[in-house]
Amino acid sequence: MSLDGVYGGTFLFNAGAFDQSYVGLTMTITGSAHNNGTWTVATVLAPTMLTTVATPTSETFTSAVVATFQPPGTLGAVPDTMNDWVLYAELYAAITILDKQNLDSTALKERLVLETKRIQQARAGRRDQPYQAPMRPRRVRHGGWGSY
Amino acid sequence: MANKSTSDVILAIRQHSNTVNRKVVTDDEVLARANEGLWELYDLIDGAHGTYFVKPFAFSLTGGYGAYKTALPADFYHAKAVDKSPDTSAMSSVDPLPSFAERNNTRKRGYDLEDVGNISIYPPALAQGDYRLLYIPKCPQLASPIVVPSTNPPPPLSSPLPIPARAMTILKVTGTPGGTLTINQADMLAKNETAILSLGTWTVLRSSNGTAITSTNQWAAGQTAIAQGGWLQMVNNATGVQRLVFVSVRGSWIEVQNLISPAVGFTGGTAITAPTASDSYFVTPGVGADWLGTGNSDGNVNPQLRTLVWGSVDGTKTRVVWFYTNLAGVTTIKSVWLFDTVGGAVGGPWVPFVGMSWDNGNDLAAATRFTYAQTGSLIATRTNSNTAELIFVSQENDGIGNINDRLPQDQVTNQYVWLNGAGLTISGKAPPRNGVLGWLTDQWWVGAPAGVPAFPDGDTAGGRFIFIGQMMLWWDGSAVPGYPGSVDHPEANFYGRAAS
Repeated sequence: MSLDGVYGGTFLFNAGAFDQSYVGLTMTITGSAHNNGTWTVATVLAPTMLTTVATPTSETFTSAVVATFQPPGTLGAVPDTMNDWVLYAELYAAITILDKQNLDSTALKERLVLETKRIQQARAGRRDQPYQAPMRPRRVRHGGWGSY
Repeated sequence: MANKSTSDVILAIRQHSNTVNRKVVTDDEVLARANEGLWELYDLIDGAHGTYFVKPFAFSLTGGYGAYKTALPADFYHAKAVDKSPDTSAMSSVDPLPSFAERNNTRKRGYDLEDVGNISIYPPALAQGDYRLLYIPKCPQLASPIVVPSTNPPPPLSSPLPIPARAMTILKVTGTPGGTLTINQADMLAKNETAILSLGTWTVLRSSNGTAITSTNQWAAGQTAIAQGGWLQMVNNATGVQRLVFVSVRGSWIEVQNLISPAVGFTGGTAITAPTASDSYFVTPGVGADWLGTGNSDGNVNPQLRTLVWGSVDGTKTRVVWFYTNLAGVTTIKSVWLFDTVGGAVGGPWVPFVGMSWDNGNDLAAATRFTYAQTGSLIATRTNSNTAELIFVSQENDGIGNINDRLPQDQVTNQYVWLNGAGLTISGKAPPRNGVLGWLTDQWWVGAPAGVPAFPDGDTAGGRFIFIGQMMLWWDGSAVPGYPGSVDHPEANFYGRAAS
C-alpha cells in the first residue's frame, strides 16, 4: 500500500472513499508541508485517488495531514445572511429536542418569541426599498408549487 | 465574528437543551433539528424582509410550441418576480398567470411554475425573449465536513534525519600497485572510518595497526597506521552490533574485510589476523581490495574517492556510499553500505545491515546499471491508468560472497517481489539473503509535467531521488545518483580536500 500523499499531481488517501459526487467539491488540506489550503476536485480516479483543478506539489504526507470535504449542497457554517439570527434556529431545535423528551421548554419558547420579534423588527427602519409583501408558495395563488 | 460552524451550532443546541453531557440525542439528530430550525428561520427572514435572499436566474426562450418554458434552477424554492428584457430600457415585469385557464390569453404575457420544475411563459406565442427570474433559493443546510485523515504512520524515531554528509578526497599520491596497500586506499579507508566514528554513534573497542593491539583507535593516525595491515573493531552504541574492518597484507595479495556481528561480537585475533565472531558476515565481499577503488584494474593510479556517511539521530542506522572517479573524470558509485536495524528481513528475525556493490571490477555506472532509462515493456503499477516500471535491480548479493548480476535491469513482470533488508526488491528466484543493489523508480516521481518538481526536494533539475535498497539518495539526473554537487547538497556541504 502506498503512503498517503501527492504523487504526480494526484492526491492519494488510503482512507478515502471518493466517488464521482466529490467532483467539484472543495477539499481543504491541513497539516501538509506544501499543499495546505483549498482545492477544487477535478476528477476522481479511484476511491482513494483524486485530482484537483490546480496542480498540487508532490509530497508524502505525515500523519498530521487531514483532508476535509463539505458534502454537496451543504455548508460547513451558517451563511452570512443568517448568522446574526442563528439563535432562533438553535432555540427552535432545542425546543424540539426538549419537547420530544417531554421536558419543560417554556423558557426557551419565551426566548424564541423575543427572538422572532427581533428578527421581524431588525429591518423595520430600513427604507431602501418599498415594502414588498412576501410571496410564499402556500399563500400565493400563483407562483408556487402546485398552487392550482 | 466568524460565522458559526456546524459543530458550534450543534454545541449551542445541546447547551440550550441541556444535552451537552446527557447524550440522549445523537449529533446527527441534533443536526437534523438544527436544519429544521434554519428552515424556519429562513422562512421568517424571508417573510419579514422580502427580497433578502433573492437570486437572479436568466433564461431565454424562442417561443412557440415546445419553446415557451425552461427548467428552474436546482436550488429554486419560490418565485419573487420575473422580468422580461432585463437590464435594457425595455425591461418590463411579467406577472404570474392570473389563472391557468387564462394561459392562452394572447393579450397579456404571464409566467407559471409547473410541478415538473419548469417556468413557463404563456401564451407560447408571446414567450420569445430574454427573461430574468428573481427567486428565493432553498435554505442552505448545514452538514459536518467529511474528514479524511492521512493514514501514514508517524515517522519512527530511527528515521534517518539529516546529518551533514561528509566527503573526503584522498591524497593524490601514487601508490605502488600490489604487495602493499596503496596510500590512496589506506587514506580513504582510514578517513571513511573516521567519518563513521564522527557520527558519535559508534565506539571503538579495539584496533590494530599491524604491529600492536590497543583499546584505542589507532587508525585515527591516518593511512600510515594501516599501510601494513591491521583492523578496527567498533560497536554501535544504540544496537550493540559490532563492526570489524580488517586489512590483511599478504605478499602480493591484499584483503580488506568489512564485517558485521549482529549479536555475538568479535573476539580474539592478533595484530595481523582478524578477530572472529560466530555470527559475522560480510558487508562487502571479503576478497581482494578492489572495492576500495584502487584503480589498478583500470590503470588509474590517482583515483578520486569520496565517501558520504549518514547517521540517524537515534544511532541505529548508518549509511555509507563510496564514490569513485577515474582518470577520465567519470564518477561512479563504488560501494554502498547500510547498517540498519530492519526487522523481519529474509534470512533472520533481525538483519542489521545491507551492504554490497562490488561487482568484480566493473563500476556501477556501467551503461546497464545506473543509466536512467525506461526501457522494455511497462506494467501498470497504479490505478490511474498510467503504466511505468516499478523496480529495476541491477545486482543482488546472495549473502555467501556471490554477486549476481541482473542485466539488463529486470522488470517486475514475472518476478517475485520481496521485502527484505534492502527494502522492496525483486528476484526471479530465491529471495536474496542480504538484499540487492539496484534502483527503484516510480512513475509518480518521474512523470510530473515539465517544470514541476516530481518530488519536493527543491532540486531545480527536477527533484528526483533514487533508491538503492532502502536508502534513498538525492539525484539530479546525472549518471551518478547522489554524487555531491546537486542543488540540495552542494559541494560546499562536504568537507575534505577539493578534487583536483
